[in-house]
Amino acid sequence: MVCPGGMDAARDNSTEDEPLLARSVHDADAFALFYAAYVERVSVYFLRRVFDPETAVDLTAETFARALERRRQFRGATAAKEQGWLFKIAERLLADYWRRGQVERAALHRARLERPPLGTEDIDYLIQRAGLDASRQDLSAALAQLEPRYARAVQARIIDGREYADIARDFSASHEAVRQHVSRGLHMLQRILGSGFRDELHDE
Amino acid sequence: MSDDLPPALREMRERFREAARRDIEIERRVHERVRNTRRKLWLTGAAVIAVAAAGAATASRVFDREGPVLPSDTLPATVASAADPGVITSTAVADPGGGPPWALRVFTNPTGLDCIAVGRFANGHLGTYSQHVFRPLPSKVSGACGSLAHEGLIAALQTYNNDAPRTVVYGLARDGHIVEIDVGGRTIQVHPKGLGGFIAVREGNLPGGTPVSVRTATPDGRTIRRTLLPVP
Repeated sequence: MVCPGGMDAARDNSTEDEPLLARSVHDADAFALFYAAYVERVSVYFLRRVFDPETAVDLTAETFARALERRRQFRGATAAKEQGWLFKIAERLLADYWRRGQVERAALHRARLERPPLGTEDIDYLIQRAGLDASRQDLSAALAQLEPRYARAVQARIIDGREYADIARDFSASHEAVRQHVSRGLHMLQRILGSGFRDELHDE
Repeated sequence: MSDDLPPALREMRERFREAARRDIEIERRVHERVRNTRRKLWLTGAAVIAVAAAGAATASRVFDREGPVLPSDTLPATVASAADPGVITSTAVADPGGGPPWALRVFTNPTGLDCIAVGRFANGHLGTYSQHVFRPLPSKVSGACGSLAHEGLIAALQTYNNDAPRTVVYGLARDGHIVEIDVGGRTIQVHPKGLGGFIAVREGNLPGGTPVSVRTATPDGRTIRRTLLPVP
């Protein structure tokens, strides 16, 4: 796996060889360093799959909350193991999102954490890092291969950027049904776009 | 680099730093409580042994409620201690049919989770009791595990189908608040003892698939719930 510059820079602050996650069991600052090392990669990983910065950051926040909660179970001795361990959590959360159409927030709740709202600067940063503008072109082309009901939901939410409530009214469907259509449509698109859409940040 | 992060991701980093601080502090307090409780065990072990030997069997039969809590830990240090230091003797409750009381053993598994096992307590050991014969459990026994610091409540359900069928609900409540257990259409209230340990013993077995609900409160008023199912 590729180590981005952010992680190397964060590790320059480390005075020990022990993975940051292992150190964070007794050192809160080590967890902040761990977060700083991986947050960009994790949020980009999600954004390239869900195309929605708000959803991607929700998933990212829950990923780190689970990592915080379960870090005592981490037994790896290297940064690569640490990264693999973190992305296993991310993968499970994404699979859960595809299935339910909602982002799980249980670990955030247990840790009494709320993620901050995103501003323009945050959204621009994430879209730029994920290369989302280019991806959107692929996305539009792939939409034609989806069942119309999923294509319409993804078009309305992801391409046109409309609110769920607005789409639900338009579709005469419940809020939850629209969310599920969007998440399932995105999952199907992920399959259609296939390996060419995989990102070197995570996928080997 | 983290300083390049946009405002919301930077803010989230600080919130996680603070959450990690809280978590480390909670863990430190839990370990401190474990150490203090183990010290007290030297004083408390003999109390349970004495009561068990004298015949907790004479306690009135209880049905659908927890057994009476045994006398608390006031014996002098000169009396014998529990042989098993993981047993929280103050959690001991009498069995509805008599015999050795029930007690909890608390231990930590290799992954660092808090674990609990329940059994009959006699001669300083946790064990099983059937046909009036007590058999000590091995020192390494499996248990229900979780992270007490994070979850706030670890609960488990065990059923026994021997000559004296029992349904035993037990666990640890981090904050020490009353634990309410819905079992077989009744609500049992138990007061956690040492380390937040609690046990409720019900005579008989639940019908298969009957859920048991366990709940307690946190200091900020939230309710933590667990739903348990008897293993067929």
